[in-house]
Amino acid sequence: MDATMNNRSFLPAESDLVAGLPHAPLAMPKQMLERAPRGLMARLLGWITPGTTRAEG
Amino acid sequence: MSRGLVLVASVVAAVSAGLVFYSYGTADGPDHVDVIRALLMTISTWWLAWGAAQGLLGLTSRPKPPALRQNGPIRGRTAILVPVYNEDPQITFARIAAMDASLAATGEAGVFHFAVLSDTRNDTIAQQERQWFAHLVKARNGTDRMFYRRRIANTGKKAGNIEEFITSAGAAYDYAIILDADSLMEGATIVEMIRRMEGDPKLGLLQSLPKVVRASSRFGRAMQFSASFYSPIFARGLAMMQGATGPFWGHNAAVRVRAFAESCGLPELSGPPPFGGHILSHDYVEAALLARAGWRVRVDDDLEGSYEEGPENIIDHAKRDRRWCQGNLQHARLVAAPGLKAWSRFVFVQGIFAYIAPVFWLAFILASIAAPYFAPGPDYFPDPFWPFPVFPPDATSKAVGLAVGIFGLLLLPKLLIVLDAASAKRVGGFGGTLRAASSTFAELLLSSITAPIFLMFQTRSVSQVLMRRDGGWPANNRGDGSLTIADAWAASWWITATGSTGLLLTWQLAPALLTWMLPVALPMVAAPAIIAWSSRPQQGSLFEVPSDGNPPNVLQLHDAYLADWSRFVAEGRATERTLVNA
Repeated sequence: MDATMNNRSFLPAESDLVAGLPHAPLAMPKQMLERAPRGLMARLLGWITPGTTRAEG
Repeated sequence: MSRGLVLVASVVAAVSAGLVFYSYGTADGPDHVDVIRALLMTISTWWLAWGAAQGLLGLTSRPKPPALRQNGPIRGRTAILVPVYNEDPQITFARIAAMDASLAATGEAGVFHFAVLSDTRNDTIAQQERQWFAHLVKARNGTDRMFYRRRIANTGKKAGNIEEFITSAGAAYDYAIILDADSLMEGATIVEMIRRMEGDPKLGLLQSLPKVVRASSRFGRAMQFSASFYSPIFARGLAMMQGATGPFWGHNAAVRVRAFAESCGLPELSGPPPFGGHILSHDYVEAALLARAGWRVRVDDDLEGSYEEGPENIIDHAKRDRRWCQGNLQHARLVAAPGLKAWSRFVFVQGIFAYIAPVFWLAFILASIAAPYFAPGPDYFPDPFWPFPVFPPDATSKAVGLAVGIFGLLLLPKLLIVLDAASAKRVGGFGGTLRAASSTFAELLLSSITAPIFLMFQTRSVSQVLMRRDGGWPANNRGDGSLTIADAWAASWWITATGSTGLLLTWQLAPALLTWMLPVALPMVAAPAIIAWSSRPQQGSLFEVPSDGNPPNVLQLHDAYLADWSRFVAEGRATERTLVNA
């Protein structure tokens, strides 16, 4: 990294040139990747790692 | 069809190797260790055979030409995303200037915007990023089409960085080209990729095959040659197998923004890192999610003009591998994710296997050293009613046959690629047939010498992940990667110690195996010397690649911008000195 770049005097003022991104929100819903364990597996996992899994239905 | 063929061929090769080994190992009488060794041999050989079959498929096939809309202007608008994380802004932004100039030459630049998405944590570098960005905008007249923003918190790392862009500005764009800070793409390639996206409305992601450029060290040049000479063939084999459930390697790819937004919002995984938390190797997961939502994901191996830089030494390679290892092993949590295509699940397994396969080899070596202790003593009189001794059958030919078969899996695809390149007149850029063959042999030699070192690094990475030690996300060390012997020793003394101990144990426990162990143990003993030597600049024309003699246009543009901007810094420095002296 060039230490001289800390000195800004030879560069144009950034506010003159840096424009903001367009404001155009797009929803990005979180995807389901983890299948909730059921039955015996849920009990087993709940016993091994309490609080991280929850049985369905 | 291709998938089934490759899978069946690799399984047949693996089972055959396991059976031959079992037959060899039990020549002195069967025991449990023989069964374990045969199983380890089967698993390890499958991985080698899988790679070899992929190469052979690439050599013998040609994908259908993609549908594309040839005529008329591009209809959609594209954001070219450049995520940065503590990189040198002068070099990175000069790449943007080069790609912008290259795009301008296509006449289609009007529908492309650049967005620098900074996750830089270092405030000094962030300050320099803003200054260099202002310089970039001025140099390329980029007002209102070049953007810079820095996140306050780098939540979700690179995947979170892209997601933040999409959720705040994604609706303004139809397509995005996702790059890395070290990516370079020709304008014509970018335009061609967007044309292919427009030609196939169900195409969610199009991956190009980036070639490594600007390598200068022995190790880096060998990797660059490998990526340039072999990778297109292996990538074609991969493309044939994956079909519409293709890969995403995280950069140098085009995505359909709407498809990406509706399919690729990544959740945090339950539990703590390294298996829980943010998804590290997000690209594989995003490709799987796009395919799950019905979008096509494709790698087009015929796309030229896509470049990246690679690690210049073994340590930097191992550091990057440590991150990838953790990311791939985390995919164990996702193999059973609901609704994924079967091939996507297999790709996760394959990614995991890439890191655990060396562990199987290591286990095989250790089991072989221990085997004599468990072997039953020779029984020369197995039949109590037969007065003459029965000697165990000589199984040497089986061992030699097996060794030839395994080396064949390693060497054959690469040797066939040389023949194919020579017959297809593809060797011109590699210095002709003779030089391409010399480079291939040198690469084979170097990769054989470095393989035991990588085996150790990968084994350590897997152990660290399994012991729940988070590897973190260090910035890549790019540029001149020369290492001193002291640096190399500090990073690899434990490999030397392990190799020396292995040799001593073999000598004591299984002296008959000493010759077989030497090719593995000697490079381990010499690891610091090999690491330091291979990081030094490569002299001569070995590992020549097409970009040496005929640098791609966008690389030349990058060089020109870098030279111009360096002059600018020097002049600024001189002006400062004058002002101070005045």
